[in-house]
Amino acid sequence: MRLHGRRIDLSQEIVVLHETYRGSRRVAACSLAARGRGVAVGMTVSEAATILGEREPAPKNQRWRLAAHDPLADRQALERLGVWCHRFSPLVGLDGTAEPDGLLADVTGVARFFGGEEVLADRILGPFTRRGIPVRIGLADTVGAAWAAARYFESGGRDGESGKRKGEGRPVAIIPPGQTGAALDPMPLEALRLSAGVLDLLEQLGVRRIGELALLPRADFNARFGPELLQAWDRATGRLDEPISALPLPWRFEAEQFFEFPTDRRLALEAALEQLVGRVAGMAALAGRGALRIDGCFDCQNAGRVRFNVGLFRPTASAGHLFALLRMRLQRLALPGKVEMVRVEITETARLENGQAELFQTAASEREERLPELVDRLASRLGRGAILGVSLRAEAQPELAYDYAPLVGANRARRGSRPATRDLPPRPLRLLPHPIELQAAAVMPDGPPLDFLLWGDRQRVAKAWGPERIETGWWRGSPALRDYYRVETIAGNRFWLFRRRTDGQWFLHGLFG
Amino acid sequence: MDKQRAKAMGRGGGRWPALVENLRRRIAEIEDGRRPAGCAVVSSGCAALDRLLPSGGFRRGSLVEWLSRAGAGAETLAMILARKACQQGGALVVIDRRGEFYPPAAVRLGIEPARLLVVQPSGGADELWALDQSLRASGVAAAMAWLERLGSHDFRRLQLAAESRRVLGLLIRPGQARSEPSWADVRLQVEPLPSASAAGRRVRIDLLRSRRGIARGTVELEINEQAHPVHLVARLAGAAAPARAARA
Repeated sequence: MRLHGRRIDLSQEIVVLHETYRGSRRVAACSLAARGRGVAVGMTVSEAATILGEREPAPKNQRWRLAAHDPLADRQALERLGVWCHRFSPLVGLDGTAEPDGLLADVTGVARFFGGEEVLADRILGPFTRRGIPVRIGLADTVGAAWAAARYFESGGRDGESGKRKGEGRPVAIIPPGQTGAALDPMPLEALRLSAGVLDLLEQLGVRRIGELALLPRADFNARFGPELLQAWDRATGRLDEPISALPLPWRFEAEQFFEFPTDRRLALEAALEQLVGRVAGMAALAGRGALRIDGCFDCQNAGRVRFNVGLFRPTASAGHLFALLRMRLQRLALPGKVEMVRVEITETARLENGQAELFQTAASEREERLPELVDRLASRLGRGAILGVSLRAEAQPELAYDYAPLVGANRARRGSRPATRDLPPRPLRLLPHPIELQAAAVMPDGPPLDFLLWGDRQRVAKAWGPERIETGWWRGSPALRDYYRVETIAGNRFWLFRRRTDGQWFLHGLFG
Repeated sequence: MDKQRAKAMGRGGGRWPALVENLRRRIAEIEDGRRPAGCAVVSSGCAALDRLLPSGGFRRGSLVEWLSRAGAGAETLAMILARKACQQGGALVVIDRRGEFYPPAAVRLGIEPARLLVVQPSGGADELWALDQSLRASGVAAAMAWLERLGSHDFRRLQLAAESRRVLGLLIRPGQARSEPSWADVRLQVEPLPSASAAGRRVRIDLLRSRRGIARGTVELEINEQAHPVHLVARLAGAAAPARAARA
């Protein structure tokens, strides 16, 4: 197994991380520069401050920094780096210590794709260095040896001739295959990832280097030091296997295509898009996921990036359906230049309930099943806010008696208590969003109108039913105090009028169409 | 042999008359567009209205045009029909460009909220497109839209869209549309009549045009809103008192 571990440290700036231990602030970690000034892990922050020449760092003072130690954030950041490192290895994990500070990657058989282990190490080093993350890379036959090489090879390798080293400052230590034992022998015992207790015990025995362990009777190890030492030693030398607990890769369904000759021909773009959608849909289907949202972009020559996305009503992994939606989106997309690259990614997914059963469906279930496709199609052109589902609410004010909710991308668990159909008051099928002010004449101040002017015509009221008094609570802000009447004109047309009780003004609010 | 055949023909139930009947149906189908045979018919729930129509009801996969003035009752009739169309499954798509559709009233007429899909397009082109898509969708039982102006070309396209599936298209149109050509399967005009009570609206329905023949006719109905679900009751023309059919 060829492995490498990495260690992050800041060599230029003095950074001290503190943690609270038994009521006092102690140094939990510090940068190399701080260590060079004499700061050590475990001393109190005030001690460190004295060494560094200041009581507390002023916030503007850049000479040294103090920050709280946050192991969880460290771990998460390391995991993100680990995910990124999957481009070098199919198996990446955090190192197995309690507070991991390195990544382990299985690069068995991988190096030749990069042109050798040295080149691979350079390829890994480059992006980290550019991002200002100093790393050290160790590559060896075993996890333990790689871990040790990344951390102790410089000190240990000075007298060991086995390690190849190109250039003095290059933080790469590669232990060639088969030379693990020889490379480990001169390294200090700390390189075996031992606990402080075992290290103390060995120190008392005068053992300093890994090679000296061979002089001790191996049979007594477990009795004298517990199982830890033997296991660590055997793992480092390869007598015992050490697994890497792999970082889970987040689901990512993406595909891209570059055009050798940039094009703005819609047909070519659609063909490319169809292929890409087929690929990402296939990946999603393989993982048992359906797309809920798909994002894409076109990189246009000299004109930047045009992004687009489509949301879905129900998760699907059907390439045809996704492509139909994206194509509609594409038709309404203005491209400022010729396209160099197309990229498609499924950014939101949900578990596919029962696959995308396209075959053998009964007619009845098909009728229900195919509706989502219509919803998706409509939403992709009209916007998700234009495709609405309805739920009723037990509210007196007519405008508040129902809820519209977008069907795309909404959680569909909005089955509240709704009033029974039987109890619903008579309401018009058309309700004007803005009630029309009417000139109306009523016989009695509290009675229905005799006639009113609407769209230039005098409407004579033959029958009226009401009033239905609707008041809304003061807590709604602008209270509505209205007396509603259903009126029928002499011709038989029915309208829904109300009189505002504050000033007696008549309004047309609805049409019983 | 000849005797037998003559006998069969005499009875009117032999092989040859069946063939002739079959051919006649095929011709009707060809004349009718490419609609498959056995296309289900949606009953309005009122025999008098169904009888008015050449197919004995409203055919799935066709357009029904309702002409009326505001407040005359066309939407109510269309909604009752939509409810009937949804009874065998499928959704009702309401295309509501003006944002005036009031869902609680539809629910009161018996539409299940879960089956109701409201589309609010922002422009005329999107409105027609949304209606076209809804008519072509297979999970939809009925689609309803208010179309004030509708060009002949667009109308034809909608009609073809309706024929491609089994969606009942309900178009609510102003009375002025009467002078325009129609591609709808049936064009009905709804006129309000003075009613007797709050829960008993009355309307007169004129069949102005049908693609399946030159049938014309008039029927007077009462919309019984007291009943659940709301249903239509035929009125005997000229009868002084409203004839109320017993509820089924």
